Amino acid sequence: MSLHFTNSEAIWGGATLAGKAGLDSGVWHPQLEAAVANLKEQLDGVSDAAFQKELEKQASVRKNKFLKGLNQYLAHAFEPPVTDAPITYEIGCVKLHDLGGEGAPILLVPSLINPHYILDLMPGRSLATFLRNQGYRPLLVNWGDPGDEEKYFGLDGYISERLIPIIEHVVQMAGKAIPLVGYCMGGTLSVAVAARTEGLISQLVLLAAPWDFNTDKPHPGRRNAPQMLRFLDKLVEGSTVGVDVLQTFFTSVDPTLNDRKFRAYADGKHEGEAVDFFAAMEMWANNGGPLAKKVGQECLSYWYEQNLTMKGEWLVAGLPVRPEDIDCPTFVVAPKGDRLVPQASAFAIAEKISSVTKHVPPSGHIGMVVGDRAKKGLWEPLVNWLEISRET
Amino acid sequence: MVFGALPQEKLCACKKETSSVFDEFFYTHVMTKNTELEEYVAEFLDLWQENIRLWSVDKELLTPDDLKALLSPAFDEQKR
Repeated sequence: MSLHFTNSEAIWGGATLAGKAGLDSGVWHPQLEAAVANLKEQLDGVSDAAFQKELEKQASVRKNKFLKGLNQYLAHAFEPPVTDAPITYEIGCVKLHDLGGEGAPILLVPSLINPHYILDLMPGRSLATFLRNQGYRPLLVNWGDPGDEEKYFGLDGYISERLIPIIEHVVQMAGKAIPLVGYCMGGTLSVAVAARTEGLISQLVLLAAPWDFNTDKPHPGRRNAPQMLRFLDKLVEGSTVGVDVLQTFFTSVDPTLNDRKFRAYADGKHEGEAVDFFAAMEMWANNGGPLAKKVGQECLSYWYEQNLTMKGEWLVAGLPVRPEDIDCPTFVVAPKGDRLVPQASAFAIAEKISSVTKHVPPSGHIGMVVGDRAKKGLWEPLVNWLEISRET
Repeated sequence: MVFGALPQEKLCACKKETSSVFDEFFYTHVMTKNTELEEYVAEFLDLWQENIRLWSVDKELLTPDDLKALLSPAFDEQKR
């Protein structure tokens, strides 16, 4: 949230400081050069003072509109959408929610960053509910806040001491190997499990799970990663990193997004269910437990800096994770327009798995799971694939 | 001459005339200029924001190796 304020202030404050002379500066992106030249021509004869006066007025109006949108969101009477499904298993601070149903268990593994309930966001926007209605019994991992033990965990600890025991528990419930759906970072963790365990996973679904961290289209915040890593190095062991720090990565993809989003919200461009959906998404994005320091360090160093996943050198329990060892049918999903996990990064793993189906949903990283086109674009193709690949 | 010194009908005609001239000047020059200026400034601000968005994408394009090369001298210096 604090980042939203800072970005909005920086954008409009910077524009005011630049003034009309800003048009003559060398700051413009090549794609905008023609539009800037055209505006300069139109402004011929307009005094600097008149332009500056109007500029300050309009910049102020934009800042105020951003604040109005933010206030409207904060004042919106909407309960944070937290899954209230019963907890069927608990290990450390990690919980397993049972969303019910009579069908075969299917395990949903979200990212360690941002809350788990994105996979069960609200009525009409819940992948878990859709799966239950299609005859499955979804079980959703809730990573929770790192406790006394998890605070010292790296990725290895979360995989070996949390995810694998959960999978074993669900396999025991099912009496057979289970389908596993991993979303984003949860997908990358799931790869390690699927590649390193036998007889536990019957079908693997990877939803925008990053694998190659050196793609032409970069991961968000790649240029900040080295500094962030050095910052984490200075924290004492057992520290955690708050959601605001992590947001700098996601926000760096487009520092203007939140200003535009909240100004549109203030303009009343959302109606009916869309208002609740906006609030639910913001609450989800602005919440989430902190990340254990060591997890942050390993993501930044092993993945962002060294790309060990792609090199086959990412070690879990002392041994490299090799996607080539995954022997179950795998469904790899990667939206073309994903700005958080580039499509090439998620699809890189598909080249290494023998039985794989690739799918491109028509939305972005989050939209594919909860957006207006989620049902047709992801949920239905996913269930179709589960049915078809189960028979083969 | 002041308006008060004119007969009422002449005063009205004069007021109408000056008002009409003023309106014409105001609406064709002052208001148009202001409306145009508002549009130009709005366009400037839109371009400014779009410029930040476009550069934020481009600036990420350094490869991890480029970044390492860029940053390691600073850290090497610090270690010494």
